[in-house]
Order: sequence, then C-alpha cells, then structure tokens
Amino acid sequence: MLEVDVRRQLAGFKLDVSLRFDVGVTAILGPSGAGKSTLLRLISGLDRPDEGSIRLGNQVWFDSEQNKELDVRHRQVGMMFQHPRLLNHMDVLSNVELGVRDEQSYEDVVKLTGVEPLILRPVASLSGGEKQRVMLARALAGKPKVLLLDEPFTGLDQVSRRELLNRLARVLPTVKIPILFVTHAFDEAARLARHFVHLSAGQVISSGSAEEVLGGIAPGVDIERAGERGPDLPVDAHEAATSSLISGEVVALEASGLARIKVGGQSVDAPAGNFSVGDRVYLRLWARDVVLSPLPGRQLSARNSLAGRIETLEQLNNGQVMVRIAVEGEAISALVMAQTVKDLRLEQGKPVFVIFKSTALDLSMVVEDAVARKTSKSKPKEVSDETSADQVIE
Amino acid sequence: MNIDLIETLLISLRVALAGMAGAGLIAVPVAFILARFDFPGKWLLSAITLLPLVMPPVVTGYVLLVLFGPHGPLGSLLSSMGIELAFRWTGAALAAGLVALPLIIRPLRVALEAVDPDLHEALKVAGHGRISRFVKLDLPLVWPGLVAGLMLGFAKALGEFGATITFVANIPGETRTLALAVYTALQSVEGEQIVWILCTISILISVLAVGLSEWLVARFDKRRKEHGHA
Repeated sequence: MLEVDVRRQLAGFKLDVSLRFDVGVTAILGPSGAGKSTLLRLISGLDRPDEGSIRLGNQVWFDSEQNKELDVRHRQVGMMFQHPRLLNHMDVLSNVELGVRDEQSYEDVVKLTGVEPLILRPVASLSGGEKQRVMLARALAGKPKVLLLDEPFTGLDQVSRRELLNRLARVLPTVKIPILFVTHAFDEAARLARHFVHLSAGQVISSGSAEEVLGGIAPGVDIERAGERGPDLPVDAHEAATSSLISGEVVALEASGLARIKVGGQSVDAPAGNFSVGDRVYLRLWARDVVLSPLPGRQLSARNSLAGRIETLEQLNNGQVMVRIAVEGEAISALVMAQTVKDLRLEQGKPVFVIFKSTALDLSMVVEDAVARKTSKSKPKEVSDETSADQVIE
Repeated sequence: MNIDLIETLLISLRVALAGMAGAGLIAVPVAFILARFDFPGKWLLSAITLLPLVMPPVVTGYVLLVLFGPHGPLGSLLSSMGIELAFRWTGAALAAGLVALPLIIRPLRVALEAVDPDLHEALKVAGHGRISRFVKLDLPLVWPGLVAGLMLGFAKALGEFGATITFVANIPGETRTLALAVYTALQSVEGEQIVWILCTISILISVLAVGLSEWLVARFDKRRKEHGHA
C-alpha cells in the first residue's frame, strides 16, 4: 500500500493530493498540466513536495513534519518516462542491466518483456516502441516496490502503441506491486487499470472504479481539455454529467459500420470504431440521452432497447428525477422529468425498457484486446513464460 | 654553442607529459564541479581556472616563484617533504601544467554540460549514485572532449616559455626545454642552424599531437556510427 499525501506549488496552481494505491494498476487521468507527471516525480523522489508525506507500507519515503526523506536511489522505484531514456553507447542488455540492484537475475524480465530478441541490437536501431519495452525491462530488472508509468505511449504510432499496450496488459498483472499509470487516453486507462484517479489542476476530481471515474467526465468533453475551465462542471449541473458504462463483448461487425455488442443475454448496436470481434469493450451512455418505456422500443430511429428493472429513483431539485435501472448486472442511469415518472408510473422494482440511439454511445474503449487474447492462447510457450515470471517477481 | 638535441627533446616531452597528466587529474574534478554543482562563489572558481590563460606568462612564473620558490610558503613546505620545484624540471612541469589547465577544463566542462539531464534522472531512479553515473554515462560521452582538451594542453605545455624561464630559469639538462633552447640558440651568433632544427622538431611534435587527437576522436565517431548511433 502506497500512501501519498502531498502538496506542491506549481506554476499557476497547487498540486494537493491525498491518495492510497493498492497492488495493481491505477490509472491517473487528466488534461495536460494537471499535475500527473509531477505527482509521479514526487513519488519517485526526483522532486520534493513542499509538504506532506509519502509512505510505502511502514517505510517513510518522505515526511515534512519528521523532516525525513529517502533518496531517490533507495526508494527502489521502477519508472517508464514519456520518452525512452536509454544510453545509446551501450547495447540493449547493458541498458537493462542498469536497472539491476543487488545482482539479482533478470533473465525472466528480459523474456517477459519481449526484449530477448533485441538484446544484440544497437539501441539506436530500435523503434520507439521497442525502446520503451527495454525501459520496461530496466524498470522491472530492479525488482521494484512501486512501478511508475508516465505516459509511455507518447510519440508512438498506432501499431507500436497497440503492441506496447498488449505487452503491458500481459506483463503488469504478473507484477504484484502498486503500479501508477499516467495517461490522458481513456482507452489506454480502461485497458490496463481497474482503479482510476481523475486529476485536474492539481486536485483529485474523483477516484475509484471505471464507472465512478470515467462515467463522471462531462459529455463531449475531451479528457485532454477537461478541467481547463477549472472543475469540469458546476455542482448543480452534476446530473447532466452523469453517465453509465456498459461493458460487453463484440460479437459481430456489420458492413454498415455498426458493431453488435453482447451485454449479458441482450445486445446493443454501437459505432464499430476500432473494434474487432472478440474485444471486450466499455460503452458510455449519458443519462440525459436515455428514454424509458414500459414497452420495448420498436420501429423507432433509436436502435437499442434493453430490458431492465428500476432500482432507485432520486428526486433532483430541478423537477427532474435520476432513475437507476439494473440491466444484466450493470447499472444504467436515466434522467427524466418528474412528470414522466408520474405519467408512466415508474417505481422501484418495476420492469422497464432502456432505449437509446447508437450515436449516443459517445465513448467506446477496448478493455481487452481480442487479438492479444488469441495470440497468448495460441502460443502456449509464452503463457508458460508468464507463469514462471509470475513466480519470480514476488 | 652547445645544445644537446636529444636531451632537450626528452626534457621537453617529460615536462609536457607530466604537466598534462597533472593538469588532467585536477581538470576532471574541477570541470565536474563546475558543470554539475551550483554554489556561491562558483564564478570565482571558474574565473581562477581561466586566469593562467589570460595572465602574462611572466606574471604566472613570478607568482609561482613567490609561492613555490625556496623561500616561498608552499616551496619551503614541499622542500621539508623532500619535493624541490624551483630550478628543477618538476617546476617546469608545474608551470606547463598550470597554463595547460584552462585548455583541458573548458572543453570537458562544455561536454559534461551537454549530457542530457534526463538520462541522469533515469539512472538516479535506477539506483545509481554520482560516481556510477559519471563512469557509466558521463565518461563514455565526454571522452572525446577530454582527449581534445588533453592534446591542446599538451601542445600548450610543450610551447610554454615565459612562466618556465621566470620560475625555473634556463638550466641545460634540467629545465631547458625546446622553447628555451630555441631562445638560447637565437642569442648566440652561430645558432641559426640549430634554431631551424629545434623549430622543425617542435612543429613536428605539435602536428603529431594534434593529429593523434583528431584520429582518436574520428575513430570513436566511426565506432559509434558502426553501432548505428546517429
């Protein structure tokens, strides 16, 4: 458990963050200049907080009150930076070795990270994605206690990005330490992390599960720009910014550009985007875009109609009601007028149909890549590599 | 007119090499400190290291004589430890090393300052201290700068005249270097021929030194390119 409670004055705003990170990947999302990278620099020890404390378990890394500070070299942190920081005058293997502490073996890491075929290549001949893989190997070679990933996809083309993403998706679950992953891309975050922190102008806007954090980012607001106007939205507009994440699996791609996504026993049509059949995906649906009906939606322009049951009704103070509907184990929020609730006699426990247009699904993220899943299945050797590495890395 | 060519040449090489080596040993830590640390009075240290380059050599020689002469504070101290500098070849090496010092420090400092601080950060995170980072990161990147500086320093030490003659005089077989020998030969009536020989030897050594440094740096670049480093 990594506990961070720090403050630091930056140009224009103050970073003021109090967070706990468990074992596993936490994505830290937010616009450029939100303080994400600074937070990682404070944790690594490259920069010093103005005040506060950083602890890993019982070990104090920084405490302004006790006047304690553990040097960056002794925190045993692994780090990937926005751009790979390799030494060009050394070969790949020596670059990995730079990360080794206490003469531990690192052959398992070289295999796991896919660096093995690269070890004889000169560093300068590597692609950006390959260089970041070497950085990952260096970071893991020191058997780190915390892994910090600072936008490692910066500057990579789509193919390299996808490759590195798949690699991280395989490697990170085998490393049983807190992993902090800074990004401003939803899809990367959703793919690698199960915990999310939304940071804006130095403040934590929200933290928790995908639904809690990603669902709350305002409609039409690109996360790269979210927070530029201060907090995302005024508090009284919170209901307008409520959304639900629906998770499902892509079962078919239609020539018309739609993807059929299986959600429990039902299905949803969504814009196909970059989906492949077999991908597990998140779809985001805004509460204000949802129509409720006692009857299934037929002969409507809205293509989607999911059967569910009303769980809660929350009266808002502007004459609107937030209705939460359980659909196939997911919770979908719908914003309706109070009068509508009366007219349709909507009440707790009552079955209802959730109707929405495919175009209302404004955000879609691949959580698990079908291609990656198949590759790892068809190559049992690599899977066994993963298992053996799993045993070596704590 | 009696100048032993071989002896003069050997003294010159010994003085210049010893001066260059001593200056190199001092230049590396000083350049490192100037490139990597910020402290009050840094400008002063920087200025002092440049002084031998801009001061008249006669003044440098006189300062050395005052400090390291038989009655100087440092000279009598070293003398009690059995180290004699005044009117010895070691004194000539000191003078030569001193004037070479700025020429070694300058390019090395510039090269050290050009090393990407991001790479230093990455190695710090990986657990490397200053010395380890100097050996693994700085040295491989700055050594052409160091070689270039040492060669310039050597050439400068070889040609040193003013400070040497002021500090250790012009003693045949002890402190008479090539430059001093040329001066002596010029003073004599029938010395023209020997002046020509001495000048030719001086030029040859200088050209060899500079050529060697260029060759080393070029070889280093070639090796880097063969490894695919752009």
